Amino acid sequence: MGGGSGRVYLTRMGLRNVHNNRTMSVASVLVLISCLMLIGLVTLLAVNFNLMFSQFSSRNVVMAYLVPGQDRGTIDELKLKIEALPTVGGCEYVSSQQAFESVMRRNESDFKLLQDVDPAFMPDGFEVTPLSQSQLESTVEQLQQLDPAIESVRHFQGVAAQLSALEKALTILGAAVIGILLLVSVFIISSTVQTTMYARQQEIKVMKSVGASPAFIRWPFLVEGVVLGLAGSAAALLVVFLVYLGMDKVLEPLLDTLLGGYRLAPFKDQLKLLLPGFFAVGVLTGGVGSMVSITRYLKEKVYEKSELED
Amino acid sequence: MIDFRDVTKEYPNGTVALQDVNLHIAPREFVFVVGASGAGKSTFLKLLLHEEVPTSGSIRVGRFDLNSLTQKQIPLFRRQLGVVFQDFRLIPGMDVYDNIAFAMRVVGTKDKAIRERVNYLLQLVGLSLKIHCKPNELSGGEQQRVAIARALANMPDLIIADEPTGNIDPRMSQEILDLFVRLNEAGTTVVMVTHEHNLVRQYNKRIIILENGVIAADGGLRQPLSPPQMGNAWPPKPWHVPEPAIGRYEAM
Repeated sequence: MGGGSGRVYLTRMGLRNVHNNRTMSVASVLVLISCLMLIGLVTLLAVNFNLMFSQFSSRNVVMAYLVPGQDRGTIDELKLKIEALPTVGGCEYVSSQQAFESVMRRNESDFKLLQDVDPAFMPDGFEVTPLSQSQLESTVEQLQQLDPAIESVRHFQGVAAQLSALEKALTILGAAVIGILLLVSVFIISSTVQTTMYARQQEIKVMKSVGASPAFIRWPFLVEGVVLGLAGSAAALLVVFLVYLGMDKVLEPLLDTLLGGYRLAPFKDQLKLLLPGFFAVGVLTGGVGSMVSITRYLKEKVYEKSELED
Repeated sequence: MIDFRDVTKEYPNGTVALQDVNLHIAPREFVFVVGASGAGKSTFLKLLLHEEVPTSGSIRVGRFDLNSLTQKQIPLFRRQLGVVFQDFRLIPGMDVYDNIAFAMRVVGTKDKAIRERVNYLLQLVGLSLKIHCKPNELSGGEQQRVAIARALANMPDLIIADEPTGNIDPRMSQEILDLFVRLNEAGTTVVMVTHEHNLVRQYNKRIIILENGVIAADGGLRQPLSPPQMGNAWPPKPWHVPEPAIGRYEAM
């Protein structure tokens, strides 16, 4: 390729191409926005699901509720017995008052509804943490048989296992969707650049006939592809932000009710993943897309007359 | 400047476009290549531009052996050529200045040198006043003069012109031919493929006549044209002249 001034000229040419082919440029940016928006939302869904799962796992304790009316001595004795179990990593006593306060904290909006309720309606109990997730079931069995003072044992093992399976399935699905969308993006950019190239075959032939190197011919098209990719990325990021903001508002009460106060992960925390990711995808799809299309045109002849025409 | 040695070109469909062609074009020569449709003129040009490679034989243009040209050398090779097409091939979105400057930007020429050279070339082809016109604002003859200026932009040793007067009126054709002659007199080798026998007749230049893929005659109008250079002979043997070649040309 030529010197610095040549590269500046070629870059300007690439930018001019974006403007001259604005209908196709806009179409391609719009489709790229759709693809990247889906990629972004799938990514955010996966992020939230992981977060939800890890929060749920951290709460993965076994609750051992006591028969009402246990004295302090029985409670202390029972705590020692639980802690002595080989599968137990920790044990904490939670009085009915503490349990009630915890519920109040999670349901501040319903404060008025709960303020007249007697805290004693909630049972005293132990929050038992197994040494590991796999020991949850045996911990439950041991607690059920440990002492008659334990009235009932509650745990969320089934839900945890289902969530884990769902998380794996979603990760695979998400990766597949992202992969497909990336391919679609490359195809779209490639088609756009190819369309503009078709219109500029003459220009490419002239470039070749005056001795332009393949790098020189590629550069404006590369610039065009990358600019489209970057424009698509920036616009898609904005759209994803707005959609996510809307989703947070709409889903807030639902998540609050279903998942005990869970809120969507803040968007600004995801920016360090999304910002470089989107721009990398934009630059790569734009660059790869344009290179895919121009390679074909670079093979075309400068001089196409057949013998019958001469 | 140009050497064709025993060059044969056969296309995959079995068409033999050129058969055992031997020719030598010296630096500073002006050569017309004429022939009917299917005679092999296009294949001759494609081989010269390295768009096709010969099935057998060897081609040398300047310092480049086209048989062993690598992909990387092709742009370098083409930079020593100036190519003028029948359909001008100007870039519609660019004005006259940019169409010419474009060829120099391709090879990385600095802006200042581009400005000086383009202004000089526009004076040479008489289009200084049209510097900011778009191609569609020019007549056919003017467009071809821009194309010639572009072909000259990188100071090529050789100009290859494919029917340069094919799309322009006779008066303007004469001017274009005169321009080529002046360029040739200034030291540039010119190879021009043309159908315009009336124009060819006006110049005492070498004429190569192609017929069915072989050189049927090679020489000048005011001197007997030679018969084809024969077979595998290289360098060419003294030619036998069975008939005045001028008569053969006049009969075309």
